[in-house]
Amino acid sequence: MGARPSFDTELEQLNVDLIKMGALVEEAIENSIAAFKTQDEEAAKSVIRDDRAVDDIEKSIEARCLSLLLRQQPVARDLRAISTALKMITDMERIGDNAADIAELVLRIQGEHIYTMVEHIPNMASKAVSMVHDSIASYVQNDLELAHKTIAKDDEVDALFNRVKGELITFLKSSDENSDRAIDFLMIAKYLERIADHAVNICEWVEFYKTGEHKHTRIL
Amino acid sequence: MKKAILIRFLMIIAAALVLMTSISALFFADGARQQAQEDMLRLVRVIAQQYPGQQSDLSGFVAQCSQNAKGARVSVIAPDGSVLADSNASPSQMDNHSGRQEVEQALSTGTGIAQRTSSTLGKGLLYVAVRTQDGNVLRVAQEYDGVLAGIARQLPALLTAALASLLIGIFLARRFSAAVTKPLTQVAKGLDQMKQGNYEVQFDDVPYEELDQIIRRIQALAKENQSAANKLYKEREKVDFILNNMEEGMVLLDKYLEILTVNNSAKSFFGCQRDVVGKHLVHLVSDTKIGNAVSEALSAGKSSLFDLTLPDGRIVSVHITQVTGDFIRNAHQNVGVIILIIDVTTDRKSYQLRQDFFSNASHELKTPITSIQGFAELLEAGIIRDPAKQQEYLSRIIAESKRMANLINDILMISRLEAGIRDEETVYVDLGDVCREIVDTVAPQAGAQNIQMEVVGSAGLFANRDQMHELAANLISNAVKYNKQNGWVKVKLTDLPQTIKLKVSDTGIGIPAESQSRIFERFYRVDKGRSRRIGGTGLGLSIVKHIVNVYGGEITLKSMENEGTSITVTLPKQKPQTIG
Repeated sequence: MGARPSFDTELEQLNVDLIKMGALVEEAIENSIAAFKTQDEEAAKSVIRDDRAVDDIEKSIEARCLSLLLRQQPVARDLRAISTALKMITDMERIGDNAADIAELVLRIQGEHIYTMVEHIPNMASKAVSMVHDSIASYVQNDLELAHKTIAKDDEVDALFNRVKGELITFLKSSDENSDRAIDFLMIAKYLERIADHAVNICEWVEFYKTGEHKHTRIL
Repeated sequence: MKKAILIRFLMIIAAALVLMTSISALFFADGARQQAQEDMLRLVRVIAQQYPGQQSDLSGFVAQCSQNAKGARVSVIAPDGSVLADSNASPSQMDNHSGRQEVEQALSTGTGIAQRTSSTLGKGLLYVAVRTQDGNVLRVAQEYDGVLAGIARQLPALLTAALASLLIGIFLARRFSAAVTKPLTQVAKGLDQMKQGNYEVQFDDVPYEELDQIIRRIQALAKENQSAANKLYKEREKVDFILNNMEEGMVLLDKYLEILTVNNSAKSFFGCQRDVVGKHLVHLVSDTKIGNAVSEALSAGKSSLFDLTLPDGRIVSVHITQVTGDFIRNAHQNVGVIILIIDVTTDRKSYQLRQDFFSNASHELKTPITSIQGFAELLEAGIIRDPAKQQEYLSRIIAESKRMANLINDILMISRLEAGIRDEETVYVDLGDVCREIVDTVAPQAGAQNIQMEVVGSAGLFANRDQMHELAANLISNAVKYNKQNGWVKVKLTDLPQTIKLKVSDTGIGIPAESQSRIFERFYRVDKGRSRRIGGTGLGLSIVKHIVNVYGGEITLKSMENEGTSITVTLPKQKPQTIG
């Protein structure tokens, strides 16, 4: 039991880092969407720049996890906690990348927005942000119910994505001058939809952490 | 203690018993020996009286005496020490007895007593001798075991007595020690209860003065403790109450960003429902701006102050300051951080609103001024020679000036209303009259579009007439302005017991749903171009709303796009004294 307190402290530090990384990617999504709304090139560029911070914290969490595995050789629940963290940061890093991708698209989009999109995309974004937040919270708070709720929320984002797609199709049919912009919008929506999917992945890993089952398959 | 008392008690009893038994045994033994000597002396005297003299059959006499004296040895010894007769042995075989102590004593004093082991019989014997009339010595010897034998004979009785007194002693000692220790046990129990926080312990009266004093001191201490604990508890309650009831959020962190204290407001600002005391700051709020500012405050002692928009749309001002104090001592470093979170949503919003008002007002004022200036310059330059054109420009200048005057009037009115300046003059206003007056004024405008107007019902209240006129005029002129060809405007007044109701309905263009929440904002227009064309300032409904607020009334809006609008104003009949 001598090693126990230090393991718990390290696990808590891991949680803190995970929350910090979550906050960073949430901010990245929010900032990229804010840049999209105001068409602020500077803001978009800073999102792309800040993605490095997400990568850095991912590396540091990865190192912490590996050193914990090596030094403490955890079993059962502790092992699952660390492997879950390892899987989670991969998804979070992808979320950060997606936010940066959105920012890159913002740089490309010129001219007026397609009116309806301006409303749907921030809506999707705020849903995706809350999903990312809740997925990390469900890990930190050990809350399986919250994880399930978050997984259920993905349907809302998917529905919004389909709506955006449908509206863009109508738009493309009615006018031919803005077709490239329509594609950019579709991609932004798709990135947001991907972000929501990554949040679902995180939740599924939280499920594994709690139950030892990943997508209803026993792993550990 | 009970045990110690018991043991000591028993030791004393045992010692007393042993001492008493031995002393009494000695006394007993001594008494018994004297008794035996006296008995034998009496016996020997009796025998001596029967002594027949030397010439008679001494052997038969001594045998007879010995038999009578239960087998005691009886001998007759001549003054020269030779044994003349003996009941137990033949005199001829016995040595000279002249040296014997009892014989010598008897010869010299008449009686002699000695105790020794007989050389003849080899037993412990008690010898008693007397001198007879003829000078011979008559001696009686009886077996005698000495003092110890006497004690031995008494022993069973002594031991029984000792045992009985020991048993009684144990019993009494037990009861006694229990009686002594019982109050102490009670005191201990009382102290236990006090330890558990019950300071109201009552002690029974104790029979010992010393213990009574101790108890009294304990009670005094308990009282002190209790009042100190109460004070502390109240103080803590007070602090908790203040912390949890203040609107500002407060978080205290140690240097490892661990939360030491957090109040309810802070938790509700960040939407946190769990208990996060003792956890890292990120469990409460993961915002990187706060995280960075806290780190900076810790490392460089730099305080920061910034606004933060919360996910629920509230704007908070966050103050982060480094603090030092023993309370937050952690790993020998008493540095921490206090985060204060203050809701500034209304502040920032009203500031924004004011900013908007100024920019809007200046913009609105600039438009007529520009056209006035333009037309005036044209006329001044003398380029326009056509009198009809000149006339037209002049009338436009006048129209724009009027619009400007209207606008300035409206702005003045609104700022007066906002500042809460009350028009002192409050009279009974018949709102029906006021409405009819207004309807007459706007009749030409309405007639141009063939709009029907009617005023139904009547109601009156105590109010400032100008303000009521302004309110009704704005509503009715809006109903006319934003109406359609051949439409109608209906003004309905209802007189209720406490309030009056003014309802203005029209068949106008209506207000789109998304604009309905904003039409009372200053300078807000659903359709800017149209409104300006009609000559509106964008302040009308805002003024209405302000007047309604001043009178503590209510305003409701019902509108369908392209179908019409109806606005209902409810006002109390008596104007409230305080003006909000």
